[in-house]
Parts: sequence; structure tokens; C-alpha cells
Amino acid sequence: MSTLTPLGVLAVALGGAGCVAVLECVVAGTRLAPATMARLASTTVRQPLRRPATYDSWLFHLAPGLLLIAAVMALATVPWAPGFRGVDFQAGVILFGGALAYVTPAVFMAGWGVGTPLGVVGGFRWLALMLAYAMPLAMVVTAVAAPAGSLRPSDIVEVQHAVPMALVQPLAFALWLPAIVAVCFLPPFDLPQADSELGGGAFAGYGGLDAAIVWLAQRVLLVAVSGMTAALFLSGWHGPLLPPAIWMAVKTVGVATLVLWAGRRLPRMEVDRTLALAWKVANPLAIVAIVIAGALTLAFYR
Amino acid sequence: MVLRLRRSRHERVPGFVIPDEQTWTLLGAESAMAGLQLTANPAAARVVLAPDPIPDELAEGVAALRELLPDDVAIDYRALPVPVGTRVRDLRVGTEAPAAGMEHGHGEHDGHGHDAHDHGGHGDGDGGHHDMMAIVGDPSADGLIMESIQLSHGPLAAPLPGGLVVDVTLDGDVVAESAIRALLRVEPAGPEPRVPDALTPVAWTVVFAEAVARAGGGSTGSERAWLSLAAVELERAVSHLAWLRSLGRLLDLHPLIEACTRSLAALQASRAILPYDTPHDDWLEAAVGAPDLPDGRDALSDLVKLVTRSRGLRWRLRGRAVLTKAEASSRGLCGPVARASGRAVDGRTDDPRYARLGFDPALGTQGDALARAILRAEEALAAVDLARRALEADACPDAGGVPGGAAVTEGPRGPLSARWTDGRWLLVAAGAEPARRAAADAMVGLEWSAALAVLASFDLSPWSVGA
Amino acid sequence: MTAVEFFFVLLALLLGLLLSAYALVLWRRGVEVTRRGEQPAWPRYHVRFYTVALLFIAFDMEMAYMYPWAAVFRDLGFFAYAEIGFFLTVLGLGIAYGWREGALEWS
Repeated sequence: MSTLTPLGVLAVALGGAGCVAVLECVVAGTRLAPATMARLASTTVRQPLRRPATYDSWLFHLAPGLLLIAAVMALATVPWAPGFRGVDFQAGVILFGGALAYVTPAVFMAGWGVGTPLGVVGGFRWLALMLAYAMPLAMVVTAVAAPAGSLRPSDIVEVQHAVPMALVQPLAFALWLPAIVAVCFLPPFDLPQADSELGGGAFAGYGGLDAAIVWLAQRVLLVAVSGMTAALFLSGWHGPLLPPAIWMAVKTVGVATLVLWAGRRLPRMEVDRTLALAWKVANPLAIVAIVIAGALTLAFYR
Repeated sequence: MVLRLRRSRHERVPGFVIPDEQTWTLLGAESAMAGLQLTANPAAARVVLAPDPIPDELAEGVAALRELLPDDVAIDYRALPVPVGTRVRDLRVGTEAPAAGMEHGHGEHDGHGHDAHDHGGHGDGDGGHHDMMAIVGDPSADGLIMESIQLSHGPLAAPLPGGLVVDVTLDGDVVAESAIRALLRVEPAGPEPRVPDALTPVAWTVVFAEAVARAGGGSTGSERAWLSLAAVELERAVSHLAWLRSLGRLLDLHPLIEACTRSLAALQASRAILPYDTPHDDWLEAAVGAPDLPDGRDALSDLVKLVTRSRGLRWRLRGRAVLTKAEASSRGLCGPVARASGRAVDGRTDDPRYARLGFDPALGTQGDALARAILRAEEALAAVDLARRALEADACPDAGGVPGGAAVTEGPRGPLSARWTDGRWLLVAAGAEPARRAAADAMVGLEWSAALAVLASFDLSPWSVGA
Repeated sequence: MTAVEFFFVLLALLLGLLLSAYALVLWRRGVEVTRRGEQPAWPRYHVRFYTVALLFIAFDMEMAYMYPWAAVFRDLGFFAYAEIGFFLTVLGLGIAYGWREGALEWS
């Protein structure tokens, strides 16, 4: 980590958010119109801030900022290239999980802070969703870190120089993917904002810069989790011919596209079914995945 | 898994339609709005479409909505029907002066801290959810005494039909009590018949024409009878498809939305052949030569296959709100809701004209929300077949029925009847009120998103008909 | 600190100042109030999944032990594997107990 790392991370955040906006148009099949998107962005940012009369002042106004901070912190732990490893922290994957944990109070603050009934419902639905995704996410991280013998993301990338972890531990990968879609509250897990059921839900009360920050934070979260997926499961920057950073970019874009595409194909999940699936199926399977990871480590990774 | 990259000619601009997309679709404005991406959150809308004039019952809701819109978005009032081919960029976006009669003007800006202006309550506008705190005395199932939220969802709560208000008491996420109101109403005035339900204009027009003919002692002429039948069937297909699309929007199931849009595009083209949005008496003159319905059949059969096999629909709808056959009879339900439970009540079975066309009512067995969706898709397909056969047939048998009696037609949601007697019109839409009560009862005990899906499966009309 | 790094730090400071100025401008412009006249809906919300939340707390404490295990397991060998296997079995029994007691049902 150097003095340029924070600026690098911010550059990746903003550039990544732009790329995700483009990807969304591509996946939805709509025409790319950069001029319109730029105009929309500028009008949104120049509009006055809004707050509903039912709001709670601190929670309502602080939520978007906290969400963005959490997203950027999570992004900072992702290693992009041997020369730019982000915050190359010895317990980097724990820091990643810890940063993502701040998304929870942020979304709940937005929901409770807006004070409208559907907003409050949206906030609590997010809590239920968090209870569903958090354990599979954490346990799968353990399953991936065990073969590497380290919690540093770049070490986990290095241990995959021959075979990506997605091929070695497909069960862990299958549990990881829904969890990261849930943490970004993207369809099919867009329970807190649920456009058609909650009319915008937890984020409906925002206007102007606040709404733009929430939009940006969600996109940066997607970039962060896609990047971490590429690092933990898809061999990170390893690959023939192309430079490491390009490989990382390609894999990140691939994961993000997969997430967006799946969101368009599947209907929104219901809260109770999500919780039931998570605790009856996903968590037992995650325990099995850790056991498998342990066996694989003893066999192959010593 | 196939990743299809389609190149679209249009940008997708988020928009909000008042009262709802179904009404616009039924009155001919559809993929016409090429490029409009419907949103249920007014703050995200860049374009807002409203009919001209707005029904009085919705004025409050629209005023509350206007407050939630971004500042630079104006409401674009259009007289319906809108010409096919209107594009999103032809719609007006920009600040507008407050229209006369609306209580709310430009949004006031407020320094932090004080409220500069005090408005009267917003009542039940959407956006203006009227919520109160209520301490519920009865403990809930797990013995805890909690407080509930009172919520009035509607009347502009997309993708539900506009004008429908659902008053619920939410105990946490779960609906504890619910009541459904249909706000919109057309007051009958004098001898001139007025269509009481904007969601089934053609069926009502046909019913009125037949009632007038019966009051005169005869029945409608044979050629026009076939055209009327075809028009009613086409409207049934369009209505079911529009409903299925709104269900897709509610569940956020894009393959369903796109399949419905494709089928609807094919059907809307049929208006060129049988322009059933013109007055009834002009149909004979307006119907062109040897009518050949555009082949929406492929798109429709793909859609039926999608609905029957879709895993997403099954996850959300199977086993929800089961209505048994006995319950359907005891509640007095009609239309697709009853038929999906196995109760074979269809006004078309006794009609000799339909018998001539080889009509066979579709019946479901399960009675759950999924059965209702599948039934409506199958009925839409059958309706297009019937319409084609009606347009190709020649001699028409007499419809039968008592001269001076009520004229009855099977509309998309149930039988519609009209009778001219004692100098006024007697209009009955049987099954509408029972369906609302059944939907309200079915919602209780379900979590909010499941409750909304169940509500949508009943295909309620926000227009109340009758005395 | 080299010149390049110094320049970037200055740039970051400048960006921060610009953003603060923009935020001040927005604040002075005033915040628009919507939904006037409504009361906030902050009930004693019936959180039906509280039993799942209790289970979650148990598992979160478990994760605090799993992370160090993952870091050192590779060097410790089979003994550590057996230990964690025992630990995970106890947790699995916890889920099974909760499942049987109906803690995972949406009451």
C-alpha cells in the first residue's frame, strides 16, 4: 500500500460504477446513450435535496454516506494486480466482510429514517436478508482461505496460480454467488427497495445528491464484490498472454454481467423463503464446504 | 443459459403512468410508448403520463404524487386513445404551471429546521400513505404484543390498477387485516349509456348496443353480431395480456414482461382491422374487407408455454390463496377466478353463437394464484382463435334471450349485464365485489410481497359498477 | 515524500474542499420537504425472524474462531482438522435443534 492507493481505489470506484451503468444497458438490451446518461446524472445531482416530513434527521441524512463509505472500503480490500493490491492487509478478507457489514446499518438507517410505512418495512426486510446471506458469505470465505493458509487476498490469489478455486470448490462458489448478489441488494434480492412492491422502499425518500450517492454506492458495491469474486475464486490476475490487470478487469466484468443477467431472469425472492433456504440449505452446505476445503487442503495444498 | 444481446432502437426512460398501464393498453396506447420503462417509484420517473381529464377520485392522489416527482418533470396530459407510434421523446418534460383545480403547486423549498407552509392532510393519495400508529391489544401468534402499521396502499400504486386502494394493517411484515376499495366510478346520467368501466370499454359497448336492441324488441343484426363477438374476444385477450404483464412487473420477472409485450404488439395491430375503439355503429363501415387477424398466435402460444412452465412464477404463486370450488360458489365468484377453482360458470356456454364457433371453456383445478394466471393465458389464446373464426364465419344464429330483458356478455373479469328499464340503466358486474372481498380475505396472514402477488392474481377492477 | 505523492495529496485536499463547498451550496439551497402532514410510522415492529437472529449471533461467534483456524490450519495438519470438525458438528447440531424447534419458521 502506498500513498497513491486511496486515489487508485477511488478511481476504480468511479470508473467501475460507470462501467456497471454501461453493463446494465447492455444486459437490458437498451441503447447506450452516453449523452442522456450524462444529462440524467447532472440533473439528479443539481436537484435540491429532499426529505419527507416523516424523517429522522440523523439517520436519514447519514445513511447514503455510510453506504458509500462501506462500499469504497470493501473495494479497497480487493487486489487488482501484483503492483496494485489495494489495502494489502494481512486479514484482508475479514476487512472485506467487515466493510460489507456496514451496509446493514446503512440500509436500515435509510429505511427507518425515511419514516414511511413501506420504508420501515423495507428496512426490516433488509435485516432479514442480511441474516440470510451473512453466514454463507463468511463461511465460504473461510473455505477459500484454508487452502491458502492465509487471510490476505493476494495470498489466496497466488495459491490459485494453477487451478482456480471455483473448479476446486464448486460448492463454495455456488454458495458465494447468491450471497454477493444479496449483499448488493440487486435483483433477485432487491428486497429493501423493491420498486414494484414497496414503491422504492427504503430509498424512496431520497432526491438529488442523496439518491445519486445511493445509486453510486450500489454500483461500487457490485464492483467490489465482483472483484473479490475474481480474486478469491477465478484466479485473480493469473492468466496467459494478457497483463494481470486486464485479466482482473475481464473477470470482474464477467462476474458483474452474470449478476446483472441473473437479476433480469429471476423473479424477486420472498423474504421468508430466502431465510428458510439460507438456514435450512445454504448454511448446512457451507459447513460441508468447509469440511471439504479442509480435506482438500490436507491432500493438495501442503 | 443463453446470453442474448439484443440491440434496441430505444433508450429506456423511466416513466410513471396514471392511472395505470392496463387502462392505457386497453385504450390503444402501448408499445406505442416505445422506450418507456415503467417505474413504481415517482422519485425515479423522468416522464409522467396522465389521461385528460383525470378522474376526480384520483385528483388527490395525483396532487400527492406531484410532490414526490423530481422538480423538472411535468405531467403530460394526453387524451386517450393515444396515436400508435407516439415516442417517449415526443412527451413533454419540464416544469409546468399548476393546473386549475389542483390544490398543490410547485414544491416549496424549506430551510432546514422549519416548515414554511402547512398543507391539509393528503388522505389516500399514493405517495401519500395515510399511516397512523395503533397499539394492538391482542397478542400475535407468538405471544408478543406489538404495534401495527396502518397503511393505505394506492390509489396510484403501480403496478396494481390505479384507483384501487388496499387498506391494510401490517403486523410486522405480515398482513393482519385488509380491506379493498375501488375508488373509480362513472355516474350514469340519462338515457345515453356511459361505459362504467374503462378497463372493459368494448364489452360494455357491445352490451349497451344489445340492450338497446332488446329494448326495441329485436336483437342486433347478424353481421354486426360477429364483429361484436370478435371485438369482445380481442378485448379479452388484450385485457388478460395486460394483466399478465402487470403481474410480471409486480414480480419483476422480465421474460414474462417481454413475452407479454410481444403478444400485445401483435394484438394491437388488429385494431387496424377491427377498430373497436370507434363507436359501435361504425364498425360495419370501418371493418376492412376480408379481415385477416395478424398472426399473434405464435407469440401467444409461446407465452402460454412460458406461463405454464416458468419456475419463477411457480415459486411465487403456487399454492397461494387457494379457493376451492365450494368456496367459489358460496362467495358468488364469477369469471376466471371461479373457473380456475373448477367452477364452470361462463356466460358463453349458453350462447349459440359461441357454440357455433366451437367454444370450450377453459377450466382450472387447483384454484391457487398460479392456476388463475395460467387460465387467463389460455383464455387469451382461445380468445384470439375465436375472434379469427368469428371474422371468417358467415351466417350468424340468433343470440336468443328475452326481448326487453337484460343483455349479458362475458367480460374479461366476469359477466356484464345492462338493462334499460324505467327510464334508467341497470348495470351489473356480477362477481366484482365478491372478488374484492375474496382478495382481501386471501391477503390476511401473508407476508407483504406474497399478499400483493395474491391480490394481483385476482385481477380486480378499480371501477365500481352498479347502484 | 516524493513530488508526485505530494501533488496527489494536494489534489485530494482540493477535491475535498470542492466537495465541501458543493455540500454547503446544497444545504444553503434548502431541503425540500415532501409528504407534509404525515406522521412517521415507527412502530414496535414485530420482527418475526428474531429466532433466526439469535442463531445468527451464535454463528457469528463461531466465525470469530473459524478465521484464525483458516489462517493456521495448513501448517497444523490433521489434528486441527479434527478439532474444527468437532466444532462444526456442534454447530450443525445447533441448526438441527433450531429447525426442529420451529425457530426457522415464519410464524
